[in-house]
Amino acid sequence: MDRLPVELRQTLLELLDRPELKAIRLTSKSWASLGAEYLVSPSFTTFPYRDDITRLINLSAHPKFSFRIQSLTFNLGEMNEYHARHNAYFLNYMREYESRLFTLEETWSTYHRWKALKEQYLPRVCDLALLTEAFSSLSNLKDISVSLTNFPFPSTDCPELLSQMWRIPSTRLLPRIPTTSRFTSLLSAISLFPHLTIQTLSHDRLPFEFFAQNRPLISSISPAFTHLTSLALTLDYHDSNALHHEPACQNLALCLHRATNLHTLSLTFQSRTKVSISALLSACCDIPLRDLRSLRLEGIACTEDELADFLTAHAGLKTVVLGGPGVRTPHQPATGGVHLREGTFAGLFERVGRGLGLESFEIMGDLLEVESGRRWLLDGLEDVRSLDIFQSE
Amino acid sequence: MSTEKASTITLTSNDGVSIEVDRQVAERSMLIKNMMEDLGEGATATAVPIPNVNESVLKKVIEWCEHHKNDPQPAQDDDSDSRKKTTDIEEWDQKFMQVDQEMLFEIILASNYLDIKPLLDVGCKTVANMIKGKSPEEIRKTFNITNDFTPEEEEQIRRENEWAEDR
Repeated sequence: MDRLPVELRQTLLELLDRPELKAIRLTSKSWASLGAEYLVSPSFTTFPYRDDITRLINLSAHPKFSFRIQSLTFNLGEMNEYHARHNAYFLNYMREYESRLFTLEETWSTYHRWKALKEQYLPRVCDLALLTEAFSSLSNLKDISVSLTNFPFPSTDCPELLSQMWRIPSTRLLPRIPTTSRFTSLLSAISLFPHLTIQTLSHDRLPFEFFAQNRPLISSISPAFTHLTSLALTLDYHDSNALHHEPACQNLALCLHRATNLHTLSLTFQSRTKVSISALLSACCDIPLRDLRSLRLEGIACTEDELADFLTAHAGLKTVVLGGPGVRTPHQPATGGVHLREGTFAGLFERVGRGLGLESFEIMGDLLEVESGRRWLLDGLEDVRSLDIFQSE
Repeated sequence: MSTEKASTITLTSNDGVSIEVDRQVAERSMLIKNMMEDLGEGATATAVPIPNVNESVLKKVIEWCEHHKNDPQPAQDDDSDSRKKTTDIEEWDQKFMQVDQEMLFEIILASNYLDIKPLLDVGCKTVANMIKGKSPEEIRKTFNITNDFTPEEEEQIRRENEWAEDR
């Protein structure tokens, strides 16, 4: 086999699954070196129950592997045990006592095994010193995403009940302080390295108070936004966030101003009520994002004028989505809509239609015109231009 | 008369043996097909030398081409992931590949030289299947690979392998 030329050996390596690839790498030096290229996938995911940060550091210290990694996903999901127990009970309510008991016991004992591992490893994942060490040589890193809603347990040997429970939003824990500080560490680590050009950044459940941190700190992590072409943030807005609402909006605007290459922006607010983004919209109107092509805003409240001014200030926009599904369990209606405190949707669409050459303009969720008291519920994305329900009666 | 002449080609192996084959069969090889197109009809009259392949291997390759002469031609850049990663081989090809290792690698090298992608695929898949489920030591034995690691180097590769524990 060793007389095959390199390109044929590579063809062969492409056909091997990971266990075989590992085995053949252990046969000789030349196979070890040839196989290295196929060993590490360009996307790396950390899980709460594993020591993935050490693995990432090891890969980044390796002369060949460090170049391979292009995208990083931090799965930081944790379970809210109180709600999880209720959800588990109701998911099994109709079953016979004996079999229900067996399933619950099995599920919870598996969960506790993973929980012990999580408590050991999760605090390390976003440790600033460790992240700094890892990022120092991952020069091809382009995409970073953080998730608290992706399934955080191993897919093999996982009790079915655990994944059923996870699909119910209340099962998923949001530890506000650790989540805020982990994302802060992550952005601080990125900001330390000017050679890192992160283009895609996303967080699927970031406490809004992240942006309420002091201005110098936010300024110090804002370089992480510099090279972004795509940003997707889902912000969890608690009632107490009203206390620092304005400065937080200013800080969010500051970060957006750094992202001068931004093409795609998605901002989702998850809250009991719709979150007013008036301050954010006016701050962004002053310095519009020149390259913005695609925009999504979900779970927001503002006026017709504010939203229309903001949208038309971004002349390059091609795709706009207002509203979305929100946080919902299966069979519940969409809750991520838009409330207009003043003005009408018809007026908004008319101004935007006139001011922008949009390729697509869609809307979804619970929609309310506060002044007229008219409301709509759109359970899926609808093309604004084909809807006539918003015309005044 | 002339159409009959155009329908066969003579190939000469590197050990000097001439083999006459249908042009359709020979043109499973992209190398020969392109050569024929470049040289035009006149080229069929002279024998085509295949300097890298000996008689027994050439006969084996022709046998494969005979069986697959009516297969659709593979797409030019068929590097799709669906083709890779699957090591299923159809039954006739499996039987065809039941040869000694020497011959197996000769077929792979010949199909690479002659540019017969589907045959190269079958050859590589056969080797991949031989690796499946084997330990490093078993793979070394099967393919006569010399272990040139120092214990430290081997340990390093073992560690690297562990880092790749991705799902």
